[in-house]
Amino acid sequence: MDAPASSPVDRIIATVRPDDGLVPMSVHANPELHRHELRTVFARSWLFVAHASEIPEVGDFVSREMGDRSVIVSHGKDGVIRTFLNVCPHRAMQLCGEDAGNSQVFRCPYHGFTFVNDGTLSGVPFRKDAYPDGIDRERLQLTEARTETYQGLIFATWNHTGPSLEEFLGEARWYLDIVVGRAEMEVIGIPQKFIVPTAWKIAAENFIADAYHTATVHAFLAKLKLTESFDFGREGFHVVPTDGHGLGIGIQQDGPWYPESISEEVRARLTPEQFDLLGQVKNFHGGIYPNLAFLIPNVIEVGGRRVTGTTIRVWQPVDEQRIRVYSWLLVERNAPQDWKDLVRRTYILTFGAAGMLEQDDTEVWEAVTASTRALAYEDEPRYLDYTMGIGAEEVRDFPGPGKVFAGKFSEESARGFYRRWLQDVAPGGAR
Amino acid sequence: MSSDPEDRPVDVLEDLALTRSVERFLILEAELLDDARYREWLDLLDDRIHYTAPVRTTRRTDGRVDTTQMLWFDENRATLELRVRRLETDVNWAEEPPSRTRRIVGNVRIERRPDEADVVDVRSNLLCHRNRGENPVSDLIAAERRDVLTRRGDSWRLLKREIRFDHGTLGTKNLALLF
Repeated sequence: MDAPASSPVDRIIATVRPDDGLVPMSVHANPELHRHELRTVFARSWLFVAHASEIPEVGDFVSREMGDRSVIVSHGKDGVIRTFLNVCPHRAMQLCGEDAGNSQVFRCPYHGFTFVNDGTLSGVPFRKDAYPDGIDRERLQLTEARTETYQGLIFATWNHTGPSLEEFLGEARWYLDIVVGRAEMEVIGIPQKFIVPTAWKIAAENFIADAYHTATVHAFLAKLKLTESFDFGREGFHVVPTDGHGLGIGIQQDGPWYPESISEEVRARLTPEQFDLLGQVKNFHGGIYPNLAFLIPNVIEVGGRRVTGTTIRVWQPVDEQRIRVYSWLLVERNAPQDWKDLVRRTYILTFGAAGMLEQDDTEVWEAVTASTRALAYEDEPRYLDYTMGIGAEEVRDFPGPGKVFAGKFSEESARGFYRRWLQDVAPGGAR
Repeated sequence: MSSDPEDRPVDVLEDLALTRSVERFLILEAELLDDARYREWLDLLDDRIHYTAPVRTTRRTDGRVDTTQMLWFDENRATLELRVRRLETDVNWAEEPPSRTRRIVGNVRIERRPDEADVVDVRSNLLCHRNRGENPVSDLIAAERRDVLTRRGDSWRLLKREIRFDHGTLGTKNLALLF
């Protein structure tokens, strides 16, 4: 029985049973739980903020989000990438109102305090008149998050004492090497940003653990007889590199699809095992805890040429029932321009806000979110089923690390996601 | 009003006729899309159609452009036909049941081309009200279209369209529709 003083949030957390594949509906669109996640999950985790190719030059910056706060990710004069709260320490004015730009200083539009992009307060207007006894420049410097980069992926965290990014990524690094490290990658243009009325974990689960939905949600592919190219099947592997992260790899035997001109670069950057696996990739979906996802969509034939791209996603929570989707398209920097153009056109047609596949997914997520909102589920747990693949035997001879299962139909990474999530929302153990 | 580049007085009637003709075309186009008559809409397109919509970003107004290489749409005839075929299936969940849309087209501005009598450049404003299901809240999508129209008989065909949505982050959850 619950202790009389337990809150709805405590009760919800206490009913999450990932090992049994039972997750209550109330985890998704509950406002109090969402606030609790902002204080725990988003306050502690490494959060993806930018790709290195977005801020290549000294002074380049982008403004992004971490949890419910705006941050500036800036390329310093010393070559260091830093992430700062986009808030003037003086009186909380937003320092930067642009999406991106180049500047080594940020001048607050309110009282004119000027900050260098290493965080120091450098200019205070009329300082001698306003603060004749001086001003505490150390207290008034920019609030900085801890920033680290892996394979061009820039992450930041407010947790200055927790694990390093590499420790946090754990066994997922081997797979990220293939997805974003196989070649020097660059973002094409800027991320698409669009609001989807869904709770964020529904999107996260979909990318890490749901290969099962493709045939139904994207049924138009079958109706339009496009399925020859599309993988509705279970052939491939489901991988849980470390609880919280998850991925699925669809397999083909027609060989590598990336341009021949970059194969030497790819061979040099990957281990032989990674290189061989990449050559068999038909599609590759997955995510990094909590809300970063990646996708190499199904390789398809366009005008006689096999093509696919690499998209990375952040499911940025706006509130408990809405996200701002950030969708980046990455392409191999050293590939020929015609490959890059083909990758871009294919992505626009299939994914992104106008993407024919993406449109179906967001429709589902919105409806699921609406279903899970009912107050009744806060009072009495009603369980969603995440039992697919419980007890399945692991594949022992897979070249990559983590728990690996034959076939893509498994929800082990969703169970792992909620196990990890519980560590953040109920660090003392589920109550 | 369109303007004569050599500053000769414009024949008012001819100008009115041109304006009316272009507006009729754009209004018909909006009706076809609002009524989900997508096949008929495809007939309004030139075979060489290039249909794009750059993603806009928030930048300072010091002369830097607010678009990059990333696009919401980058379509030719074949991809638009594929999108229409998808809209015609009963499993395109994004538009099944369909949105109720109401497109208002206005602020039509026409530029003639001095050396091409059968081609005009047109800018128009679009406000599209989109409502789905029983949601009491609707999406409002605003855009300027920069078009190139070529003459076809008494009417026109759309040769090129660039849609400049008046949004950075899109407030509508998908672009399953055409604009």
